[in-house]
Amino acid sequence: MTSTIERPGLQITGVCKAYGGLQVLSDVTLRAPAGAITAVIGPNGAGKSTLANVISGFVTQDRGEVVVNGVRLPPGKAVTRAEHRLGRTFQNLEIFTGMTVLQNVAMGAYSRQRGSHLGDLVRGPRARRDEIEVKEAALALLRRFRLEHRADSLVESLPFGEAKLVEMVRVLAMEPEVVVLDEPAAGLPPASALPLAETIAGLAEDGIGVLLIEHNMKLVMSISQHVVVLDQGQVLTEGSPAEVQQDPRVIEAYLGPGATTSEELTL
Amino acid sequence: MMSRLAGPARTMSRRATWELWITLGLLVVLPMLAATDYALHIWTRMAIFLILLTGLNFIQGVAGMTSLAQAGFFGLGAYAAGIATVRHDVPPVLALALAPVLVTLVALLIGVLSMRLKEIYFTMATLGAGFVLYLLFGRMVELTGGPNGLVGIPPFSVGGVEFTEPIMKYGLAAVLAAIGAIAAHNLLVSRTGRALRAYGASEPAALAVGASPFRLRLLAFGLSGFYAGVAGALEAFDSRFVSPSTFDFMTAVLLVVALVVSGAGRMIGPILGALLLTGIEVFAADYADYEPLIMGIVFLVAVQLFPRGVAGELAARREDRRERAKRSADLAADVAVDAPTTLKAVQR
Repeated sequence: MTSTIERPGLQITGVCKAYGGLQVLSDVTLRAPAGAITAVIGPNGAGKSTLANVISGFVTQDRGEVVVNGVRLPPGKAVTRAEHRLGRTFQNLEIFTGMTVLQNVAMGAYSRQRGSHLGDLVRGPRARRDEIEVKEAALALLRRFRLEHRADSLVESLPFGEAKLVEMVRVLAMEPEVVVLDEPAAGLPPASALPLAETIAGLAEDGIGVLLIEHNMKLVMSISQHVVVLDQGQVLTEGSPAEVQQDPRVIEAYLGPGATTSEELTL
Repeated sequence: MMSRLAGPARTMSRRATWELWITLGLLVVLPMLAATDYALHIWTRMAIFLILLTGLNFIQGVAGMTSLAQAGFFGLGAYAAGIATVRHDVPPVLALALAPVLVTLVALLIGVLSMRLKEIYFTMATLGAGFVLYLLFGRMVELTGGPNGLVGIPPFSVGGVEFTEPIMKYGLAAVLAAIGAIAAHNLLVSRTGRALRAYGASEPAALAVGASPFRLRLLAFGLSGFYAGVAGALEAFDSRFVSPSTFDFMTAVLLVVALVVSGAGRMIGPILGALLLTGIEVFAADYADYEPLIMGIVFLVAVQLFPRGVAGELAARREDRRERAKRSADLAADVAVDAPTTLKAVQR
């Protein structure tokens, strides 16, 4: 509990974003504490992806702030997120094609590596030591996720599920405090849901604050400690998975007016 | 420390290191194969091309941004060294040191202005920059000698020793080419090289891990300028004459095409490209009028035969073989595991 107080995780306060006349996010406030999985769900067009992009600096919000462990992150500056230990995965697979799996994972440690770019031309003992440490850490992560045998393979030669896992392992190489997972189950066969759930749960067990943006209700309800429901850019409700599942407003938002069962939300 | 590293991490940069060794080996072996004055002159040209293409490989091959300014930078290096020695009596050794610095500064200035542009617009900006430089070489007659060229460039010299012998000229170019190749290798296998490649593969993911595209690409472009400056100064001291036609649009395109055909982004690409350019230059010397035609045909055929570049195609074939062998081994293992069961079934 102490560690959670010391590292409060992700705090989003009053975030607003409009594209022209369309208000995509309206005064969104939520928290993803360290060591827990906070899910953001909502129907298509609810603003989930825009929220992920605001948090990770790919979209500049009109108002509101994104704070990680007490530090306010500069709006719209994606390149700064890594130094604040905020990592993300993407809805559409974003991997470094043309590079090996090990190189992909090592890239995750980019912001942690010190030394100048010009110094890399000389590659002195310190730079070499640094490189070896990064690669060893990357290999250890690959071992942990049983991907070591793929270390030398070009990442584009991997099956989709493994490539998605590599993307997540790359985020872990950042040694993140907070991760934003944008629809990690998208495109995965149902059989992969369980290993994925275990992987995500493992991140929270490591003390990382996980913000899970996901369509797969079964996954969300099985692993999340807290669920935030977005609808038309606003926080409709939030609470434990059980509370959210029974909330009539959530059922209506998902299944339409007049619906009374939460069955489909538990699928 | 090194020995603790597990297999895959060790092999990660092995290919680039092998390719560096091949490059360095060729720089040593080629003059042994043919060491006449003419041959040494050819090998010197090859070493200069190698420096030029190693520089271009940073921006074109690794960062994946097509630059048509390399010929202009090459010319700027040549004119800077030539003008410094001819017009200002700067010692050649100092001119060789200053020319790349000047070209780097110009490259950085152009880079700062154009690096934020989308790739095609960046290419157009570099085309413009190269063209402006080419025009200046021809128009600033008092300084550059204009279309007639700059004559009277002294040979390179250090401490009173003049590098007039072909073997000395080659030695100087080869040593600088080797240092350039080693530095390029170091960068390519480091986090900087990785980040430059990563940015070309996935812009969002590279940003998310904290790689700043502007800074990295500016570095790559600055380095391409530095290498072109070295190559240009060597060209000036080798030919002892510079004229604008050497650095025209045709040269800019040739450099890009030669690198792409040979293997852009690979450590071996620049040496293969340099050999190709030198070969074409030697062969086309007898058919000067048909030079563009010969080059066009060579590149057309090469692109058809090696769509991923010579180096890329060879690597891909090696990779395919490795994958096939791995699949066969997996299959054999499966059969071995299943065999007893199958045998029992048959016996029953």
